[in-house]
Amino acid sequence: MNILDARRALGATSALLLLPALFTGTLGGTAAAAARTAPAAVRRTAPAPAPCGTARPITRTLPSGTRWTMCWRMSGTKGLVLEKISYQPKKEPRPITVLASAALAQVDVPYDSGSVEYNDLSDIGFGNTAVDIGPSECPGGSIGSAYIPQQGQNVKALCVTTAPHGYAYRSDVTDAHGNPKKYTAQGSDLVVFSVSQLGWYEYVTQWNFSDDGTITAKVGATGDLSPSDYSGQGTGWPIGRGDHDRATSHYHSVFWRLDFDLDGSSRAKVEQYDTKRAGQGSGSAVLKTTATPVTREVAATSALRRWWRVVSTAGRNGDQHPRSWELVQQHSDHYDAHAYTSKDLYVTQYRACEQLASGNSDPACAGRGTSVDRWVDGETLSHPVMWVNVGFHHIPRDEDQSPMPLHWQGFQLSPRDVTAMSPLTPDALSGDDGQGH
Amino acid sequence: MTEQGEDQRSGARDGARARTLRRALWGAGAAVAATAAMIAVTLPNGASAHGGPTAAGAAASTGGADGAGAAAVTENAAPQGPQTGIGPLTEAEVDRAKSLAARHGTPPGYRTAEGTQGAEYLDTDLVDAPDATSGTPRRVEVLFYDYGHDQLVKQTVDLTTGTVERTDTATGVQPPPSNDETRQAAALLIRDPLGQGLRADFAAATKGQTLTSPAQLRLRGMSFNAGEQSAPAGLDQCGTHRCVRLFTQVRGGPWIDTTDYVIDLSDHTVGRIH
Ligand SMILES: [Cu+2]
Repeated sequence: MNILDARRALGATSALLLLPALFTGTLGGTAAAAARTAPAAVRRTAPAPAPCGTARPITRTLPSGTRWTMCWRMSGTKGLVLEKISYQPKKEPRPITVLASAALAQVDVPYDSGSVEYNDLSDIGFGNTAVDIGPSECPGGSIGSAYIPQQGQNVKALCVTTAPHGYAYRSDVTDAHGNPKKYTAQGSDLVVFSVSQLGWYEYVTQWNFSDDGTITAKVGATGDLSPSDYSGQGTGWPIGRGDHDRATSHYHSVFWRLDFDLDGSSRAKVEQYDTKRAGQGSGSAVLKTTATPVTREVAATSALRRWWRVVSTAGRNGDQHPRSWELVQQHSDHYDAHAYTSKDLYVTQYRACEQLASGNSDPACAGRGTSVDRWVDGETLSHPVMWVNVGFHHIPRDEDQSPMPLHWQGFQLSPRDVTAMSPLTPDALSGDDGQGH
Repeated sequence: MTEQGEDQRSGARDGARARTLRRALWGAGAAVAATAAMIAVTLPNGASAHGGPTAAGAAASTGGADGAGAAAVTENAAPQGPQTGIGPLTEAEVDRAKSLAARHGTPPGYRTAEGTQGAEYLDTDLVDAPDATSGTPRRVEVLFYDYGHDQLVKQTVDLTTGTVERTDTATGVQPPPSNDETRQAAALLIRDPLGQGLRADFAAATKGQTLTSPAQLRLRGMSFNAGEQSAPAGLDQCGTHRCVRLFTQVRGGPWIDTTDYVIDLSDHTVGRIH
């Protein structure tokens, strides 16, 4: 969780003032007018098309020149839904489409005492419980409203802002004339989030889109521990003075559903990579990496040095390598008391009626079962959908008393061969593609 | 916390009544803290913490902020009227989808939660359409529950042509309750013998007022489906039936823990998880 923890400082926005992200789209309001005077705004001449139709896209060009664009809406159950997500590095002539849709697919919260369980998306709904985001919660950003049918009102449900994320790179080199030169830059993220209030718990559903192409999905839990779940030794932790109020330990199993649209095509390929020891070399152990194509639906478990990527069938980078996006998992404790939470990753063939990882209630899917584990039946993958499960076993501590500090869980998608070099490569070094090794 | 801990120990002798009271007291503390936090956020310009109009720069400070919060914040109103493509549903679209679905009608045996002919409206959502482009007509799913057959009914509506494209039904699936269903569930609990603890906690939290109506409570309903999670034998109909659990708060006051109670809206009974 190191990367996630490093980005916890959502409120640390002072750098925003120094590195104003350019508002190139309409979700910028008055700030967009101010940004138009910035020189970098003239870099792209053609106005961005309206990918979302009549609605405002979320679109920003980060200080390093990377532009992210997407559509958004609120679903009663799923909460924040991001669609048509595209990534346009500084030197790319066109946006590179990445995801047709990205959203939560379940937040399951069973208590260790065996007394209660909450299926937060399918039983309550993250859009149904979305709350207004105030200006102080979205510094320097744009707050977007949407009508929530169950609430019968507009809710200021979306914050779009930018945040620094520290070093992008650093390198001391010597140039052709023998002069020492230091290349270094600071990176930044487009940050998009909504907040849902489920009883005493509050959840932040957040996506960070970094200027180096990394996508970070995470859910943060805050608010208050359950005021009603106290239990015995082994299932709770003493909160407050003495040893008689043991707040019950519990799980948060969070699922995300990712429907890819790589280079404008849903026909992506999925690959699993494993690296195994293959003997001893003269200097160190030999490790061999092999790729296994995932051609049929799969329910998969994480393992040492195992990872997956989704590979474009429609686009290559400047090095003629197929573009791909790698699933980067952080620590996860899967919940082994349900079948569907027992696996770390599912890949299923796309079906419009399969939207929630459990408690999926769409009648168009009647007879197929209501959870993702039931849908994995060997079907050939021509339009793969990824379901990422991240489990966090929450053993409360004194510090979690009201208001509970946010605890985050999530994963990342990182670009692998999407561009020939990093989009942040300084101009002076951009001719080094293929020369650096 | 210490006194409340004492309460819980006495609760072991005094049964569930003392336990729920203790929870209400604990909740009271939490509610006070939340109010204080809101004041800290909104004092600078006196704006309401929840949905009030905000000007750029209104974010002058959170408690202990360093001035960064003064960065300009812009607000964008919700989209209005007819739409194309894949943005948020507008109020007008939701109203139109509901009225198109209603005009389409329901078979005679369909029943609302109150037992009248028709189906209980639950929710509206945009159809998932990965191939949608900016000009794609809007297609919307309208969900109903038919208490006559205990089934979920989904009507897919094309907002451009004004037609109901298809209807799908399924049993055993239970999406979140509507606010109307949640209120009906609370009304059943308030009247039920198992609502005794809730009524007593409400009286204690309001200096003796009598709880007679869901309007006195701030409610959040949760569907409860024994097909999706463990449930005691007495509640195994839930899932086939439409059942609701409640997060309950006295309006402007403390939480009252009612999450143990499961209200069956299909047969109007109240059960308990423990
Ligand atoms: Cu927790």
